[in-house]
Amino acid sequence: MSQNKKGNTMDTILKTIDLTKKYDNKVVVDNLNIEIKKGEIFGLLGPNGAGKSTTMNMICDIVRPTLGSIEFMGKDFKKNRKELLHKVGYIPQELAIHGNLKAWENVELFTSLYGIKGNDLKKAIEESLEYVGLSERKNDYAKNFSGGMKRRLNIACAIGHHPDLLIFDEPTVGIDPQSRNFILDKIKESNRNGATVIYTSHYMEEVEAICTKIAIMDNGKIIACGSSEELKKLVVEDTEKISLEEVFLTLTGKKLRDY
Amino acid sequence: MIRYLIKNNIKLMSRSSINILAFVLAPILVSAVLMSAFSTLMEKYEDAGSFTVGYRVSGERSKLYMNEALSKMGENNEITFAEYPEGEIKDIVSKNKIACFIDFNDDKYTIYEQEEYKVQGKITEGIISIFYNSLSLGTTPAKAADITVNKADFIPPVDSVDYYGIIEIIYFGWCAIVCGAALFTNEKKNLIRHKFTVSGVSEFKLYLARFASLASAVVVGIGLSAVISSLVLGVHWGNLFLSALIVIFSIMAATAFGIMLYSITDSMVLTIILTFSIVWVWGFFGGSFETYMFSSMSQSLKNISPIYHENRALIEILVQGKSDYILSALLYSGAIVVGCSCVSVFACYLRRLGRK
Repeated sequence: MSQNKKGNTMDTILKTIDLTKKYDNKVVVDNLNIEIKKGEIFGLLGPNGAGKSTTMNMICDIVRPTLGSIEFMGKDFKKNRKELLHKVGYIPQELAIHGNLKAWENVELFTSLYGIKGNDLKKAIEESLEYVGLSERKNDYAKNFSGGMKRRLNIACAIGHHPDLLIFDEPTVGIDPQSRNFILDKIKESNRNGATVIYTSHYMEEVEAICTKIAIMDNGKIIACGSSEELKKLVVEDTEKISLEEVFLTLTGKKLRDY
Repeated sequence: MIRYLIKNNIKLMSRSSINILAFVLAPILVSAVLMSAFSTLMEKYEDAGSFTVGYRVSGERSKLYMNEALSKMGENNEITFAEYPEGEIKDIVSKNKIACFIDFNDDKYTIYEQEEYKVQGKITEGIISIFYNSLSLGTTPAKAADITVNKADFIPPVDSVDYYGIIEIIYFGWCAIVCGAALFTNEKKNLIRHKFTVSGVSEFKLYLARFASLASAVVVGIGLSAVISSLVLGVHWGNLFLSALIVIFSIMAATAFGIMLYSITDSMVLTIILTFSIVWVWGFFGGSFETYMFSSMSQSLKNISPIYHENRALIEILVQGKSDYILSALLYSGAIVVGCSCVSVFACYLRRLGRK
């Protein structure tokens, strides 16, 4: 494994260094240091208000850190913002699509933002819709889609520019098992095709099924990080006797988090 | 590539039935209502032109000077005085094309006015009244007849159809931000803005895309409305090129102004309330409701309103073929576009910094 001049291993795609975010005097993310390797599916878990979304938003440049920095593909994110953002595909929890646009028009709008045009854009639209199984419905308005189809369209809008890093923020909320299964399969397929994935969800079984590395976050800090097996071993020796959800509740507590 | 963003934004705005209602149909409906409501009032302001007045001199003393005096008063004021010494006055009025009839006696006179020649009747009444007042002060009939009515030449002879047909197009154009309300609200509500941020598109390009798409959609909507009102209601526009230029500049200014309010407040509800309030005040000063020509508003207040410059330029282009307000209307709109655009981009930039 080669190293660059800053001492990062070359297969590190994303690294946060003492990443901190404060709102007024409240620390939401507290000196976060995570390292995501190229080709990983990195699961980020945590109760409501743990700081997951803020962390994701800082990685996507939607929120600026109060302190600390982010390195992406060995480069400082702040200094190479535009170049690096073009390598990120962001799939927000919200359905960030226009209901009054047809499926292909939605993909065109969001893919074109990355400077893709003409025939390349047409090709990217076809590929993206094909990828999420919406080719045959490309001329339908998004407002007429089911919840699962909208979720898939949301994904199609973020992958047309072939990003190296895909960030999924709870992409399976409120959809049927078939759509969920389809989306999870596609995430794994993207990963096999070379994309690194950051994935957040409240569904533990999903995270356990697809993530190669999982970080559990609480009160703005990573309280545990490793593979599913490694996390289970933090709680009990016999990992078959415990689920990831039980590990999560043991580490973060059962107290309700009303934020 | 913001051209795809512009294209899709235009599609989104044009697919909204509310926008079609607000920018194509509403200006026609509102102007039709105002045209009808103010048609009688505005008829009073029409140019009387030249007309004929019938008369009869019954008094013996009056016969000595009245024909000569009437001839002089007629020359000065484009009035033809025609004498009808015999016959029933009612018959004379109904059978001849005369604006009114005057029966002169030595000490008094009677004017028979007609409903359809109100303005001409009032002018005649005024002239004869001045003439008799002068006589009573001892002025000779020849001197007393030297009367010229000053026509108020600053009052453009425009009827309510043309006036409100034009003015309401400008007024609705100033509410341009309403056309983008659903789009901008959706962008905010569904966090589409975040996707813009993640794509690395600059605030300036995003502003440009919003401005170009919104202005284009409103120009098309308002343009359609103007064409339909011309065909259906018979609204005239005078010099089409100049009028179109002023309307397009006005819509661009309205777009920049609306986006600026939205960029500052970040709330579409607040933006629409502010837009309606400010545009209503500007419209009130500028003749969108009461005609600007007869408004008692001070000139300085009128000058504050960009709508006044635009309204006046368009009306004067129609009725006079030229206007001193064309340049000020275009410059005012241009200044609003530049100023509001700078503030918008700066506000978005600050918000992005603040958010972070």
